[in-house]
Amino acid sequence: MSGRAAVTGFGAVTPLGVGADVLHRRAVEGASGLVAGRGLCADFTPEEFLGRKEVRRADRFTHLAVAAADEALGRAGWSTRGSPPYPPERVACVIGTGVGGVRSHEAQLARLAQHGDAFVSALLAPMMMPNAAAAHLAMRYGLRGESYCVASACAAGAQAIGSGLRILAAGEADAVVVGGAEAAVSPVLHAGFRNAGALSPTGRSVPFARDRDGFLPGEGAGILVLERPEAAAARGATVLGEILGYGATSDAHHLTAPEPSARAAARAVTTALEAAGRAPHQIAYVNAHGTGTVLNDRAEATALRLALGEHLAAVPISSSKSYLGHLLGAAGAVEAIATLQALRHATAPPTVGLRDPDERLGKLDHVHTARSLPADGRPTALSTSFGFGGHNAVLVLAAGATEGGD
Amino acid sequence: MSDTLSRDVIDAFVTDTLVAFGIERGRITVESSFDELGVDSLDVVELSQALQKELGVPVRPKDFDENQTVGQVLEYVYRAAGLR
Repeated sequence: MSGRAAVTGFGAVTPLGVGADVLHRRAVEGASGLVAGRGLCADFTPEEFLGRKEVRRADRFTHLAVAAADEALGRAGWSTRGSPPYPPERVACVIGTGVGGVRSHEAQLARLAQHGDAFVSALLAPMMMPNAAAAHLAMRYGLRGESYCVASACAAGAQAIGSGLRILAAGEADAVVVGGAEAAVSPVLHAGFRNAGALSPTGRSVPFARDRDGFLPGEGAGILVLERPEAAAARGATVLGEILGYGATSDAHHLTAPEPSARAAARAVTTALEAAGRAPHQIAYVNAHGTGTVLNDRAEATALRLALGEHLAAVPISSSKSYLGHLLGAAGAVEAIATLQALRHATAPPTVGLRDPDERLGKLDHVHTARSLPADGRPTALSTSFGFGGHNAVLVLAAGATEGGD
Repeated sequence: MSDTLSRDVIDAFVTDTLVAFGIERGRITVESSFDELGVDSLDVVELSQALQKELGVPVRPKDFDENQTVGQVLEYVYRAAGLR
């Protein structure tokens, strides 16, 4: 049982801009943050959020996490310079990433080759370590509960949220700061992805398209503040949404390719729905993992069909990767925020650029331009994440707060 | 080692490096200790590497510690640079 959590804050830095509101506004306009085949956070200036010392001592993935977290805590009404509204030991922090500070690593490898080992920075390890973002957030906000990193490739952001949900359900904390951050726009990593056949050789990211040929790399961060629903109510917090359920499984099949029958991925969807107490017909929107690789989109459609059955054909579905690129370890968190925004504003963002859907994926209700979602009856949505290594993680989200015990 | 290395050059280099580390220029005086300025052991390593790489002064991180004042550090660097 994963329990449920009130979302009292969220923040995002993405290729569409700095902030979770600009993310939603531009996404529903059909805008894309992809430029020349990459999704860079061009509007982001670390110095606006961090002092010179902090900027110098942290990798860009941590800079992005801090900016998103400042927004999330601000939205939650928490101080970003003082103490959290709970005993500090009762606030945990779990931040996912795919590869951590890979650019910092690369810079020091070059220094090692050029100047020798005496000149490698003492800051290398604390900058590149995947847990750096969680560590910086704990230090910045004085969070003294458990903090760590989830590193499960493209499922890391979703699994960090799931981990936070479980920490709350276990009674280990009253609140958790969770999410994902990635700044792995790296030539060597891209070459590896390209040679593995995952990156689009044509420089397009059009999930579900008949001629889709891979994803485009992106960077960004998404951070959420989750609180025990009773605790959030007790402090009079504004509840922006709710994580109702979480399900996670493993393919146990292949390093990079999804398992074709998609049974394990479907099981993650079913588990999340059961935890949420929701039936397939109650799902109003699916924010798909939708990477735009031939194999992912095929396996994902299969998994969703296994889990949702005939209802899948009537559920609006879209992929944020069509306008952000693939944020790897940040993707699941940013997409959970995009999903919550879609529910709050009753508008689903489109799969940008999708003109010729692949009918071999079966009947899907693709969102081609922004689509109205039901505003009444607490609509519920799914956000799916699947990572290299066969990690499957699914979140069930709803807008607003549970009333009357729901 | 640079032919033009002087106390002034070293003073300016150390000050600029500390500023680049995020220390306010106005707080850097010969009496202020690294500890007071918030210069920690990681910064000390970076400073000694920069002195070696950019000025060619043979100093090592273990030559400094956080309790030293900027003035004490500068005196050490002058000596290491053969300026006294």
